[in-house]
Amino acid sequence: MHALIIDDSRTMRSILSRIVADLGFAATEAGHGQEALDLMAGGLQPDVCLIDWNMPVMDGYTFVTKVRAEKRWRRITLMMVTTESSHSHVVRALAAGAHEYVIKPFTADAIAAKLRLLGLLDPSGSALDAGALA
Amino acid sequence: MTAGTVSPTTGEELAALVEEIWVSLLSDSEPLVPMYDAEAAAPLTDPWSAQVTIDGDWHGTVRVDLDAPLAEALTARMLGRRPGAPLVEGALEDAVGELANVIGGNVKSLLPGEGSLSLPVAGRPLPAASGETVCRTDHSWDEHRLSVLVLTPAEPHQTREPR
Repeated sequence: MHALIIDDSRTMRSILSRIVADLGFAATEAGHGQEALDLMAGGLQPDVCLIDWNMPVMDGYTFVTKVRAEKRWRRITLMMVTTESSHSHVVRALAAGAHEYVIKPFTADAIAAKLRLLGLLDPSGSALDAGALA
Repeated sequence: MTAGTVSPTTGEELAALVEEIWVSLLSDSEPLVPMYDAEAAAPLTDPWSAQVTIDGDWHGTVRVDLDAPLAEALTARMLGRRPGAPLVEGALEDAVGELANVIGGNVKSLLPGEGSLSLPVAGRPLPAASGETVCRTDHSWDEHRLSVLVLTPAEPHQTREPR
């Protein structure tokens, strides 16, 4: 399975990439929403996107709305990973089509628990085989 | 809530929040040790700094200052590098900025009402934060210091109209 990490912080991308790699995901990183859209338009097919909210160029909320507007990307699981913790932010993101919401700071266990909840991990706690969700 | 000297948090709350964030970001790290003595009020030497601005019903700045060795240790650990390993250009700014972003976001969560969080600004040196310090916490880690300040503007701020 493939995870696309979208965060303007290189440090946070590195942390999240290590967490998902330890779970068996391949990981690709993007520094903002537009870069992520460009990667996907160029053929990248992530199974899950981990998305920061506040980013330059294109924020995470806009990214979610744009992904959800495209039929070809409807199977992609979207998970916000952000410091924005207000109820209104959570509601807006979920209403726009995000599946899950994680508030920074997080632990590796918390990320794994959310991915398990989303059905992206097998019973042993590793990423499902590619194509398992097709 | 109006702008001014009102703090969104108490020193104890802020200290607990910073310690919790530290442990979450650096799971294998020694915890921060709170500093209560007068020495904590002394300025840090040649620190790395980062800050974020909260704008909304409450307006202010959350600023983080770290001794340089602590900033380097933080960055190495966040990136999963061994201590002392060479870091790419910009890595320190990014890691310190992300620490300020996470702390600022959590301070914002303590506020009633809505608000927005700016992208972090980080550097060494970073111009001294302007405004009045309404809340502060100081910590040590391996003999190095970290300070977190919550500031409100010296001038009255035009608060946003409720939506």
